[in-house]
Amino acid sequence: MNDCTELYQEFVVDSLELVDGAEDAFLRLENGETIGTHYDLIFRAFHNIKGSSGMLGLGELQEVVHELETRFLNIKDIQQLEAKDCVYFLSGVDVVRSMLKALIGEVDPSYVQQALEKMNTVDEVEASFSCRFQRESACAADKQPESALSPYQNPNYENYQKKVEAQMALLEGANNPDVLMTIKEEFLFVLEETKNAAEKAEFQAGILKSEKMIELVNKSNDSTFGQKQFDCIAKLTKTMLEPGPMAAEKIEIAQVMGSGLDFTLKEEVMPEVKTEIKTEVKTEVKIETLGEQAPEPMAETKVEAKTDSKENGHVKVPVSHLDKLMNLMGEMVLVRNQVLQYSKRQEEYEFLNLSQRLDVVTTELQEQVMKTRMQPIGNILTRYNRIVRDLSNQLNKKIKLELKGVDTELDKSLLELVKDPLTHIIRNSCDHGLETPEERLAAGKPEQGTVIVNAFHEGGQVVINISDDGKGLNPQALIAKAIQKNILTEAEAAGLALDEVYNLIFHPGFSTAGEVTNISGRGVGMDVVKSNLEKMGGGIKLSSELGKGMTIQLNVPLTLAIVPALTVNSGGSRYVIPQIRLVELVRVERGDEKLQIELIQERPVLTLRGQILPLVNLREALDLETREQFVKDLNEREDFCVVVLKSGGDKYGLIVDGVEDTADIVVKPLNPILSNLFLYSGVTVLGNGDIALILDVEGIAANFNLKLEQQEEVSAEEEAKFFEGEKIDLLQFDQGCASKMALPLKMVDRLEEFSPKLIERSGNEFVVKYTDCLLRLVDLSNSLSSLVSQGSSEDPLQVIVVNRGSLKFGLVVKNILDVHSVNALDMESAPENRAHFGRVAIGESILTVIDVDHIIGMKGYVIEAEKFKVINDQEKAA
Amino acid sequence: MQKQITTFYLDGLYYGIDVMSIQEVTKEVPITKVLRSQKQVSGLINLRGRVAMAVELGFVVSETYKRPGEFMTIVCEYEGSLYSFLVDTVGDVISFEQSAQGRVPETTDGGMKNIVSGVFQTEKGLLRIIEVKNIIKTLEGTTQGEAA
Repeated sequence: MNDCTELYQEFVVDSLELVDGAEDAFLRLENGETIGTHYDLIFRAFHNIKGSSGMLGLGELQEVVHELETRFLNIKDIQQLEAKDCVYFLSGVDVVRSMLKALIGEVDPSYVQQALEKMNTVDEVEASFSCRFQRESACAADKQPESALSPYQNPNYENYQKKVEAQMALLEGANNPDVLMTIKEEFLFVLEETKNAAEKAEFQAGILKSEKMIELVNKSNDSTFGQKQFDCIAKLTKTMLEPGPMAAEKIEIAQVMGSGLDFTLKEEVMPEVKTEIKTEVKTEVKIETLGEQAPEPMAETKVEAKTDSKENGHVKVPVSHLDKLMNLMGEMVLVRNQVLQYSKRQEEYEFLNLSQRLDVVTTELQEQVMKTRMQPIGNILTRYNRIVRDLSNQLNKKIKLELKGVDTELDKSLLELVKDPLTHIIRNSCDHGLETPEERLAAGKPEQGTVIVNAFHEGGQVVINISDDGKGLNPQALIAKAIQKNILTEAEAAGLALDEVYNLIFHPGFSTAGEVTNISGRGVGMDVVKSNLEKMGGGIKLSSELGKGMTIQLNVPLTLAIVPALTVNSGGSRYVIPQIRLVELVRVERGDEKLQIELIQERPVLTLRGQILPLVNLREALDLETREQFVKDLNEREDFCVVVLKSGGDKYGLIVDGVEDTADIVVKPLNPILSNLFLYSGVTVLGNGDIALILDVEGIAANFNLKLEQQEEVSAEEEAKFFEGEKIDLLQFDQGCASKMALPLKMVDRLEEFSPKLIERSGNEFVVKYTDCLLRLVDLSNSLSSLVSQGSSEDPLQVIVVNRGSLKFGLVVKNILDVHSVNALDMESAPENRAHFGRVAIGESILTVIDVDHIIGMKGYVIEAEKFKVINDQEKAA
Repeated sequence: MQKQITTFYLDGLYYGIDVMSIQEVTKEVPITKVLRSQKQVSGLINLRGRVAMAVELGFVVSETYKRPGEFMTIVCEYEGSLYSFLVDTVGDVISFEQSAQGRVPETTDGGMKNIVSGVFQTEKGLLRIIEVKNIIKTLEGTTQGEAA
């Protein structure tokens, strides 16, 4: 049972590959290439599939392929296939492919029916098709409807006879190895045909026919294909003619010999070849027989031996085997590491020597195992030929697809992952990017649009560039669409850089297409493409020139399984960060004047080269310490390690306890239950066998709302600008206590003096009538209540009037002293007291800057406006 | 039909898991903690290169469970992931007739009710039969609960 499904699987995989090859060949033919080498390829594809499907009893598939093959054979002489024929064959290829996929349950059987109908429609349109066949005899045979096929009146056989005759006629005229190939194929075909029909008599007749053919061929005495091939045929024919119940086995032998013949054709030059073939044929036959006795292990060898002659010794191995191999390899590397560790403590020369060798061999083995997963990207790129062809028909555009760098190698699993994003981008380019031929001509471009896919290695990554020479992205249209879709406000749009405008297309739900077609334009896609690429550790960039075209660049890591990574520790445990996420490592030392961790709204930030970088404390992310503890730490710890990471388009800094080293790690999936934490993206086993969790860079950012903070970050940047005016003025006042207090002068509206008599008590508040409104007094000097209750003092109250939001507040102080101009960067945060914004040294003394908003807030006022926005507004007003 | 059950003790109670769902039983192994995970997940275990998630079965059964010290683990594979269940001690493998399995008393409550699929009277006391599937479901439930 299991063997059977395996057999099916193998057949389907093989056949799909053949179908792909044939499809590619037809596409080339359609583009005007001559049939030349493609003939063999197509023929072999059809023929092999037909043969194998017959063997597996897949009658329907066999019929279809047979029909295709017959048609194809009939037009053999035509050097250039007509476009109409290509359409027919391509639709036929679709049918075969869908049938194959239906077999392994990849597509719904109803799809097969659709494809079949489509093919038949094409067929009817192409009524003239078979008329172009020039040899009447074969033509007559061909017109027989496929459905009439039955084992007892096997028209295929007649068909074959007629064809052989036709071929022989041809043979006598011209010495063409191609013809011989055809005869051979026909011969094999008839063998299969007969096997299915189990019609011994016809079978033998067929053989006799073949013999006659061989005689004829011999008579023609051709030097090019000489004796050797025919010896082979003759030998096998004789075997076949021996009567007995062993017919099936003989057919097998015949098939093997057939491939031997194929082999000879290629090696015509050598005279010894004859014997070689014989031995080879014999060994292969042996292998086949062996294979029957011990199907499990030998089955592989059989496949290998058979394909060997054609495909330079490629072996098909299921990816799962490679995965296991990779895992074992990882294990072995770990053991090697442990041995090396142990060997450092040993002195025995022999042992050291051996461990050295183990090291070298393991490293090499690892490299080789890695290589087994690599596949040329051409394997997936070629399929886009078909997509682009179909699209150009559908869209009535002339599109040429150019593929470059098809040999670039990429991990198999990644190859699968980039397939869909690539399809999407290429479709987009064809549908939206390229203009219609009229538009193109009007724009002075060639009628035919070009899409170029270029793949190459760069900096340990594979870069895939998809560029078209279409109309490019129109920034204005993008902005208009974004505003229409409420993605942007007009004000925001005005401030966007060109790159940011382009990046709008990665926004979910964004589409500039005027109308939604069945190809693209629904607005789902580019965001998915982007997130998919980021998931695999890659990226996407785009550049565009209006009217000239655009280029999308995909960066894909070479392999998923093994990634270089940085090990960090936090709270005594080790964690791993993929190198691809890493921007830089920063060490913040206490006492460094230029680089300090500051707090903005209780969140730590780092001003790095003029940019505000939000920070996340890994200990906090892991629940090892609270924000308060960290704030306390901030003033006590000697230094902090900050790992700057990129998450999507943003950067943030992760505060860790220490950075260890970099190493290549094998990424293992995390249990789904744990991935819900959005803290870890995977697991790995370190060199010493310990487990380390891989940090989820995006997840941590999301946990800390860093995305949301972007808005705040703007204000933080404004603040930076505000402070970056290098000098800020501080108004120093006397609060009536030892420390010297100050507040930014920019916050100050006016300085006033009030007589205590004017001050009224309103509930728990003190207010004073001030111009046309009430001024709420905030007592900083702690003397107000006594002053007011005494009501006697004549000394005026010193009040600093600040404007916060829609309200005015008066800060009551003892004395207004001085204005100092200080460097904003000299200001240090004062996290221990929330009422204090920071402190700054003025000469010998320290000035404490109060957080006005916090103090007002403590009094129970809610200040709606953001503090620095107010300041800016004031600046603008002034 | 005969059923074979690997028995184990947890918090003084007698439990069992179907032999067929068990991959191996290990002694105490080093566990790498996974911070911020739910209480029942005690961490990750390196099982010859494969990573298994260690589940403190005691916490699944009862909120107030306290580990007595040493432990053993029962390793099971479920839907492609490895789980290693921490138990106090692992006992014998016993066979019993499936038809003899009793229903879970209605009065059972808490985590126990979620994971015990049946009970069986043995010489050593009442054996509670646990389904691996149910344990995983309970764990998934708690993550969702936390998210909400």
